[in-house]
Amino acid sequence: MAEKRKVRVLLADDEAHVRLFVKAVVGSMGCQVVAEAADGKQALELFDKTQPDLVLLDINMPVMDGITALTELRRRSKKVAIVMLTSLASADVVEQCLAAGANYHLRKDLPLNELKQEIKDTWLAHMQDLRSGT
Amino acid sequence: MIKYDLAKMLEEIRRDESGGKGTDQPKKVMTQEEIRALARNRRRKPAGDKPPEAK
Repeated sequence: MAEKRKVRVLLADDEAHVRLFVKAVVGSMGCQVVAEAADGKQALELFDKTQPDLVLLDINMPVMDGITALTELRRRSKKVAIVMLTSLASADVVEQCLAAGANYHLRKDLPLNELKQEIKDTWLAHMQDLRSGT
Repeated sequence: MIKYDLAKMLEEIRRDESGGKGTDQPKKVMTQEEIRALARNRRRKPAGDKPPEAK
């Protein structure tokens, strides 16, 4: 019987305390943070190295912003789930991210239980999409 | 001595950057519920979908 594999997560946020928090959140959900990036460029490099299942991507980052990184990540992989993280969910940015291939968009100010549920729901929906081939 | 009205200059710059439409319209900030609804809508109708071409 195949052993259940942990969901491998790449976390990209320029703020170390946010990375620490999100890492603890996804860790408590049984996921494994395989890499942490402080900007978009680093996220792309680490994506190539680690091939994660899920990328949690901040939008406002130095060197390369999250939307540019999102576009490049989606060009490299159709299978990876990408969730954008934002402090202020401006409607035009949310729509831009979803149009560029983000699976979902999460506000960082969500209560912990909601944050977990949203990540879980996004992952399950992504798996369903992959199975149905959409 | 030339006096500059910095507030007025700033307003003009903002107007120019927004294509002359002014900047008084606040950007809409979405709640998580609104984002969820938008994402669900997109899942049902993927971005790549195009309406059938008229013959």
